[in-house]
Amino acid sequence: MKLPRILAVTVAGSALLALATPLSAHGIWFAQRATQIALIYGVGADDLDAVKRLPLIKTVTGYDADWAPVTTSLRTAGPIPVVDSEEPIAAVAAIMDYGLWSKTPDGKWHNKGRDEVPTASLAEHNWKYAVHLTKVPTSPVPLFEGHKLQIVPVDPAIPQKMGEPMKVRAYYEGKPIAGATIMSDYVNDPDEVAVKTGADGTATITLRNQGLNVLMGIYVGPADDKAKVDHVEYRSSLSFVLPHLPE
Amino acid sequence: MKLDLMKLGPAAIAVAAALALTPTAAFAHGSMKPQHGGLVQMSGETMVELVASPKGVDVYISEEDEPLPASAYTATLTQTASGQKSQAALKPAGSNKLSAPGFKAAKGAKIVVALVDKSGAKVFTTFQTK
Repeated sequence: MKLPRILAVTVAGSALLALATPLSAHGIWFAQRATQIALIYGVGADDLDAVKRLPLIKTVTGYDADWAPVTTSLRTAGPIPVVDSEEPIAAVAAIMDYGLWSKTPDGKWHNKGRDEVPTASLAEHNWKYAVHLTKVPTSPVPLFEGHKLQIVPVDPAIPQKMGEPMKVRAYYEGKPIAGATIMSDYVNDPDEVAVKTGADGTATITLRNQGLNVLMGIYVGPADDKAKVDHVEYRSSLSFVLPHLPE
Repeated sequence: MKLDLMKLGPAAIAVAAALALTPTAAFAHGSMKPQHGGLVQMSGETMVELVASPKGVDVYISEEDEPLPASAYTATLTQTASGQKSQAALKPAGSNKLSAPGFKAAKGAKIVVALVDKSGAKVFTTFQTK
């Protein structure tokens, strides 16, 4: 019986990959789980423990189709956090402060700044953001408070077919930013050769999925505290679903 | 990390082939025909029928043509009409029926039914009255 061996090889391979994934590579996004909208922490198919990281979530905000705020929170439902809102939402957003991380020459990451890990070869502050659209916007997606990096559709009328191009703009501190990385499918192709935003902050990606699309913008900005970190990494997802054919 | 299926053996090839050939599941969600003369909307797998009458508002819930037990849910009704919001609790009224007696549904209103099951999972269904 070869199956157990195959599974063992697969599991071992996955474990190795997970170990090799740098901490900063992880992001947050929203996706449907059992009819609810769940907050996911991970990268690729790694759907990691978001519940234990809930204390790192600084804000979760919901909006109706006119972008008016809707009272929204996260509720722990077993092993996953799910969005709980008082009314239907057209969009939900979250901010996670993943804190200070320093990497020592032995390859280990420490949840501290360089001031506490003087031998660190790398020290960074990680912020992670997520914006999820539950329906096609009827007006431009606004910049949400506190989202230092945000990826926004240039045209709110998001194409509804996979394979079609979609232009997005990356905003850093409220202004278009050049040189931000835009990944088109953070879940199914986390190792893709991503595009960079141009001088106007825009980049065009190809919609990969007739289903959930998780775009991820990444920008490395200057240190917010030079004594503790070399830089700040911002990782901001924009997710939405392209509908399947009627059943 | 690349896996060489040929080296892993026939079982691996069989598994890979099965995964590749698994068709997209086509789930039947039941009839969308109103059973009580009301307005029908789907929310995920749940079919919700809203019936407005002079006596109030009734809501019927089902999945794949099977009635859901109304007693397994807490539910509310939120109406937005002419910029004004009004809300009422929907109480289980036998079988798959929830009722808000005396609630007046306005014409051209948006009515949102919120259903919360015992686990806390919430689904919304939005109706536009005629």
